[in-house]
Amino acid sequence: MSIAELVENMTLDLNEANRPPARTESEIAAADRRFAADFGISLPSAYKEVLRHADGVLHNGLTIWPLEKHAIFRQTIFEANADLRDSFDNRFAYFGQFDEELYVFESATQRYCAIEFVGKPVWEEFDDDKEMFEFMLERAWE
Amino acid sequence: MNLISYPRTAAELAELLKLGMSEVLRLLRENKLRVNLRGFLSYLFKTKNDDPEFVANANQSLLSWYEQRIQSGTGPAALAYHVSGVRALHGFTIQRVSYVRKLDRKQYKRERKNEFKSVRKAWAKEIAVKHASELEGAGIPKAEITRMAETGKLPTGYHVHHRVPLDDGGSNAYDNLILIRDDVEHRAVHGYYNPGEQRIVRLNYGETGEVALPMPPADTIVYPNIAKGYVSEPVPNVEFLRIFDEHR
Repeated sequence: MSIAELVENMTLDLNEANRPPARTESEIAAADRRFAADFGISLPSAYKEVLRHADGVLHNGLTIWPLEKHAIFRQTIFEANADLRDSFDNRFAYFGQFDEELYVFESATQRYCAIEFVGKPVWEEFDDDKEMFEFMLERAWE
Repeated sequence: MNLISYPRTAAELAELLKLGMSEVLRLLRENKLRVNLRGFLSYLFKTKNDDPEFVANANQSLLSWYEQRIQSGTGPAALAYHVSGVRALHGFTIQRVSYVRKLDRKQYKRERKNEFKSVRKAWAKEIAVKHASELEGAGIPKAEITRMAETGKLPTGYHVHHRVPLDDGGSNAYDNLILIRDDVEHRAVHGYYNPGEQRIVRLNYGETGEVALPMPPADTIVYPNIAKGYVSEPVPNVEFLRIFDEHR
């Protein structure tokens, strides 16, 4: 399934009242500028694709953080990155969490990878952001 | 020196630490001083410059804190760092673990990537059937438990946590897994400034180190579990900062 299909299925799986709405192109562009200003990198294209269908994903232990606060999410993408970069590891930008797994972009190596909380081992590397987002979404959907 | 009651900058924190950790703790207890927990610990670790003795002492100190707690007749709990403030995770134990980072990283990757994916689903189905009343007692809605039994998908807002990490000698065996709330509880277990986490991240693959590891209660499949009194509770930050007092 594509990123769009997976996100739409996962969103429909939530109670109607909890479904995060899609974001508009202007909202995504504004978020992109803010993320770059705060954390030094642009939002990946695959994350923007997620936002075009839902403002964040919460399914089967997977969280892809939203742009704005919603009742079912603990943090926004900005809050999660500020928190994790400050108190976990500032070498990464964080886009998703599945159980103990974090899906990140490592600035120094310019690579997308999956790491684990304990000891921070990299256990999977991806060719690009699309591959990483497909991987974590499929992992939670299957 | 003139004491700043809420030091925030590196210079202010440096000046404060000249007093010594014991004095800082006294001032905190007497409410003559406030510090931002994360900022303070971040600065403290920078000043220690990855000193292995400092981290080893903090692990030992946390184990001593736990032993004293048990000896005093207070129930088991782990003291854990969370960005919003220190938590006591009631029901957790702090165990001295001879931690070995798996040298065989192919095995680790296989366990993490492929094996865990299939085991997780089967385990979720099984606990939803065998432990339905316990899950319901922990506050998970019946409909979510039924869905879990049918599909192997977790209830909204929960994670699977390995009691003994896969990175160490942990496995994907059912008795090594627990359902944990994706909130302060899971983040606190993996709290960055927990002495165990600080020790583990400094170990090379194949290397062994003594680590104070927060371990979930063995007699529950889910955390928190209010029916058993297994909940997280905010505690004063000074309780946690004590374990970094080298003169304790």
